[in-house]
Amino acid sequence: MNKLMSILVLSLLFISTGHTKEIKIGVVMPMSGPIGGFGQHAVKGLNLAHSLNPKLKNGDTVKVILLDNKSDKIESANAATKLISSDKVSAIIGALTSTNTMALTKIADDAKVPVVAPVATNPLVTKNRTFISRVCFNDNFQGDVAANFVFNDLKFKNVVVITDVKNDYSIGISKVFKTKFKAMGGKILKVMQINQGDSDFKAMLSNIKKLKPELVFIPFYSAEVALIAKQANQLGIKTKFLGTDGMAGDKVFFEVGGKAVEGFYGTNLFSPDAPKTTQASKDFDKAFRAKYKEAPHPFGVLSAESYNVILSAMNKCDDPTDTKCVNKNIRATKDFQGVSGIISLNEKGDAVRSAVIETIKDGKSVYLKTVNP
Amino acid sequence: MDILNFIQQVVNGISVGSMYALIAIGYTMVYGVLRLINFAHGEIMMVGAFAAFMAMGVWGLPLFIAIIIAISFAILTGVLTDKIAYKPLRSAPRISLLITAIGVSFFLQNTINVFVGGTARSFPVAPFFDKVITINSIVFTPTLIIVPVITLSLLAILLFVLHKTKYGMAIRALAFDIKTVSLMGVNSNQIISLVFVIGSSLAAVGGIFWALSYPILTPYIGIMIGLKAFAAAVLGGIGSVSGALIGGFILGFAEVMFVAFYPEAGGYRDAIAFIFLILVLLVKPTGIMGINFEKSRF
Repeated sequence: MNKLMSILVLSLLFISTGHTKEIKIGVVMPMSGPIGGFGQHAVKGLNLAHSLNPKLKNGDTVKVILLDNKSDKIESANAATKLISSDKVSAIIGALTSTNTMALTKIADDAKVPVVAPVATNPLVTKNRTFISRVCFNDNFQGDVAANFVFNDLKFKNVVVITDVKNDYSIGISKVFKTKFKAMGGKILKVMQINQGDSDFKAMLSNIKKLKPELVFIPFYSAEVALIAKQANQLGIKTKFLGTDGMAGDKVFFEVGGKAVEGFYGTNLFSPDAPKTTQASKDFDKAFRAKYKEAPHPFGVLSAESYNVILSAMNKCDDPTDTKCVNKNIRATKDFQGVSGIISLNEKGDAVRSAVIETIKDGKSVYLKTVNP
Repeated sequence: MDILNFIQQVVNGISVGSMYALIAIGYTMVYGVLRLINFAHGEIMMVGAFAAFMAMGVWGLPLFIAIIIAISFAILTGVLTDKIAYKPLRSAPRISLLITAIGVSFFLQNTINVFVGGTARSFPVAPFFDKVITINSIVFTPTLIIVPVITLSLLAILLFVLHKTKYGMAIRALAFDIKTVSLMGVNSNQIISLVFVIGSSLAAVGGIFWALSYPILTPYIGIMIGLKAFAAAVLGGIGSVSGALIGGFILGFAEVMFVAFYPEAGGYRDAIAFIFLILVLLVKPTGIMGINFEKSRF
């Protein structure tokens, strides 16, 4: 009797889902660990994008499978393997940041499953990878924007650079910044190193205090920046600081940084206060504020953008599970009216888009200006 | 490097070193009695810090009560760990106990990850701890003054308990030979629990002051601090509580001075701590205050 019932239930299930297919998109995000805060923000945007567009044009429903990479490289690679071989996803969004995305690019590339990275800006992410694209700019551009801002807008000539040597993103952008800033005629007083996860920076900061630079360039993530800001403040360092898009991503930056991060500058991928260039971005902004009662976070917006770019590519294919066709169309994205602005992908799979510069005021990121490529 | 910067770096070294020392003492206590390198010690510290975070950040209790709650939680974790994971292995080979300790450490990290969440939390720091004292442009933070005082007084209390009280005598006796002492009518499991109570309380205090100095909490903060404190304990001569203190300070100084002189190679900071440990052990395999386990304890 039981057996009969289960056969009946199973067959009913088949009948009800028989007509439209279910398309799976895998998502790898840091939901816990040191940069878990980044992932939390990213998923908010992604969930909103999914609830706004849960279906493809042909009626297929999209299922999002979220895996936590615990902010870790190896876990990112494992997650990608699982999504590809066991869940059989048609595309992957993630793994948000550079180091973790680079851990899964080879796996996805070999399996010919397209990956769209929301905010992985290291130049190497898409290098020689046919199936890896991103909706953010790469750090050759961001480093250039940062160097330009320091030299031409702030008119500072003496800079100290701190690199997080455990973080591919930080290594990449430091290198670009140094080269560009020196080429402009600026002086790099010293390059110092930290490790992601370090807590005590007083020894390094005491040295910076003595060097008296006009600005310290700190291209790494929220936790380390916040601790550096706090300890620099305790040591009485009055120098300006310039961070990058990873700086204000996690709310611990503001909670721990408090008064110490006031006046910090930061380059960023997106600012909710920048003039909006597309109708989609206006609508998304409204929906985001209505759902979460807060301003859209850059990581959330770009994760939503990754989802939309994949969906738009799938809509152009007869079979949305044909990963080669989807990838071809992702790469062919031109003048896409996205939720973060207008984006086009170049032949390498990198988005060509503008950057914003912000400053921290009253515990918030405040928009200063937009820099176009 | 000018003299003022150097003095500032010495101050920075004391600040880091006293933190390592505080945590290393707990490591050495457990080792002295059970010959167990309790790799879960860093995690017990993390549990203490999270308990204090909950008490202050979520329930809004004052620091003093938060410290009591943190210590209680840490003691509970430490004693339960011993009862559940270590006690059944008392007569098993040492290596089984060591592997169990590593397992316990992962278990605690993941438990906190599941129940509290794995994202970075900001530890609520009272404004008092943000004030600094500046003398001749040398900057002192409040924790810098409080932590060494607490470390030294806890060490004094610990030495008093170990050498002047009946329970202390039992602990030292147990450290020599558990079987014989049990035959003499001492309840060895009770005394071992006491050791875990002391070790876990020290870890909790260490965790709170770590969080007050570096107010970002994740379930994984215990890993590196635990390893450094372990290195400090070995450097000072594992099993010796005063050795742990000395080891902690030396390790803190070594790290800070390395970064002070070579900030451009700061990425090797952690490596330096362990290279230093290896060098000391090459010259003096039992550590600086290395004790001869045939003759004395602690």
